Amino acid sequence: MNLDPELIKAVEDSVKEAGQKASVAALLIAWLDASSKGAVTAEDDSRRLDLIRSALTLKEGVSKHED
Amino acid sequence: MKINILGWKSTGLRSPDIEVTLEQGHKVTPVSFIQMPNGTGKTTTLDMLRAALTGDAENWTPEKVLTYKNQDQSEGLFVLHLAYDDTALTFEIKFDFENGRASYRTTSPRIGGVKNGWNPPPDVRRFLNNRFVRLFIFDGEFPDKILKAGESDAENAIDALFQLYLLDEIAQKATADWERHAKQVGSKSHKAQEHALALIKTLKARKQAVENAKTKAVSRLEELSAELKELNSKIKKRAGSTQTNKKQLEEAHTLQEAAKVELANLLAQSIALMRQPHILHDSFGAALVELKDELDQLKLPANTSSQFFVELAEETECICGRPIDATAKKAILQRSHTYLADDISGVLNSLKHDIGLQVESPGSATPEKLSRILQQIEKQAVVVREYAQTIRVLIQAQIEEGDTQLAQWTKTHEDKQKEQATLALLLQEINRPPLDTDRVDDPDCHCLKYLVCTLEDEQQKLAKITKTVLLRSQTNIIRDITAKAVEKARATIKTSLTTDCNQRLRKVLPRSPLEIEGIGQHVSLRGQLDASMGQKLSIGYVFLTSLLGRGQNKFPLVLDSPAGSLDGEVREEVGKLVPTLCSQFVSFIISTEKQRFVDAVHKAADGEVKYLTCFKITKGTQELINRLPKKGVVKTANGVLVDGEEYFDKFDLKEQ
Repeated sequence: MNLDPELIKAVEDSVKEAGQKASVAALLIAWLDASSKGAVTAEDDSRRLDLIRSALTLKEGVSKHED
Repeated sequence: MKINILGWKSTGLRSPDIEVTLEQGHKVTPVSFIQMPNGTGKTTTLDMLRAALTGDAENWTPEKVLTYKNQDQSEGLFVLHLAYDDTALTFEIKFDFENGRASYRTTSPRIGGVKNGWNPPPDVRRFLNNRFVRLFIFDGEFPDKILKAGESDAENAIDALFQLYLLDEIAQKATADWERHAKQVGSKSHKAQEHALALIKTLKARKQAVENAKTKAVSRLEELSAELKELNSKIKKRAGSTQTNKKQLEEAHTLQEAAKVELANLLAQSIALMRQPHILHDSFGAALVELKDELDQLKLPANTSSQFFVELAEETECICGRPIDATAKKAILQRSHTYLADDISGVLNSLKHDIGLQVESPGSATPEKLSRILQQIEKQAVVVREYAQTIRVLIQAQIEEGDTQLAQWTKTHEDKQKEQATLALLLQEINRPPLDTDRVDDPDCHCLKYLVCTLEDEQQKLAKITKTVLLRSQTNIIRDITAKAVEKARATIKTSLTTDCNQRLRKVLPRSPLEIEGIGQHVSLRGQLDASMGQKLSIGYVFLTSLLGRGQNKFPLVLDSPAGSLDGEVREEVGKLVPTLCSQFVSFIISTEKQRFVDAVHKAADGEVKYLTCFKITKGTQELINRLPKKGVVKTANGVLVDGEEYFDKFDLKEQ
């Protein structure tokens, strides 16, 4: 099943408002789409989460160095 | 996800032992009518469908299990065949009436064949709970609940069918992943890590409990408000029923209403005045005048005003009437820059103008005016209370004369008011800002902001201890984005759904206009609190079919007595609407509701309709058995099922 266009738009707008790149929205939408089709395993979830995390832009001051 | 009901079979239950198939060849019929006279076991069949889909029967009490027992049977069986995204799935419920137990068996290639227990494959499991199932195996109470204040069925339905829960799931997965890392990472401050983890666990539980209490309180307060309104109206009617105090009561009510209106006017005036800072206190006014005096001399915003000077220089006469020659033209263009400033000057000009007008001009409102209105409010509130006291005294007099009904309603009213006050206090405590005295270990601390902030702080501490600050920041961003997206999607879906529903309502109820004002947690109607049963049912169908038509998951829609409380015209409109908006429509129907509904559905479904008629074998139905058609009849020990349109049409009320 396809995702509702309103849901897709809401994700795109929220990502933009959070100051993140459009690729974050694309990754989130792909994850939602796969979940809605029931085609997601725990490994998939983990991989998709990693992809989104690495696509995120963090505020200044939060970096790997802090850890 | 697309779910279809292929058919079911029941034996040993209160409904007849029959096997129903909703397929024609290997294709599911888009519309199926199952005509069952009253007393044939419609309710039992619907209960079985719900129980098979939700797995609830395992938790039924022995007493409840026994309500489905057929007279002499010690065992019963209900089998439901489904297809989800073209995969077969079967649920069997076995009833052991001797021990009052129900047990399940599930069959699907996606779970490796047959398994004991209620074990749907994971991808379909999320839809098989009461929240979803009540949407498509239509719960007769649903129309009532989507309209009832305090219920959140409308919002739940939207979340379910538009898959908004998927966003919550992503946020939960991200949070769980950070927590797992934070637990697994070994840290030098092992004790601090353990302490932070324990505290986070406690805070999460407390936060959840307070959030639940808040939801419950808000919902109950909405209910109480409606209940008190109804009780008030009953008490008012009853209290005016004896001649002795009827006139006095009417007068007191009229005067109280007038006093309330006056009080509301005064409050509105005071709020309007309070919006102007210089009226709140003299010092604000003085400060505003000082600000105005210190602002630059008036200038014009260049962006919007420079063209004015260019065009003026082209004119033959100036605005003062003097001729504009070449020298004047040059001067205007050169000197225009002196009067132009950047665009902010437009705002400053407005500000100066407004301060002059609102604060300095004679006759403008002053703090004294607000003070006078506040005094009037106090006096008016006393007047309203006095009338309320008069009404109470008059009601009490009637109670003392022996009106027990009035006494009971008044007592209930008082109790509900107390409950309302207690809940309002609880909400005040939950919503208040954090205090220095708040403590995690104080069970009486219900301040949600304090709990949220403390949880946030502790999670940040844990992130630092376990060196997962980066991971946590990323998790927070994901959580914020998904939360915002749910909020946005919900709002836009509700708006467009309201428009869709209202368009359909105008068609379905052309003679009794009804409009949905908005969809919050429940559906609210414009200009009315309640609706008739027929109107509620129409709203329920319109809401549900609009949802089913737009949502991305395709569920069948099973309705019991779909047209019972609808009049002819509304039946036709609902009949036209329903089958076009769901992938499979199954309707249990009695003969008296067929008129104008079945034909409308038939046309809308282009004739792709399965017509089934089912009745029990009893002495009273012997005449029907003698006149059964030659084809399409399945007869069992206690029931008959006839497949065919002609028999369906002829089977009428007289024969029932």
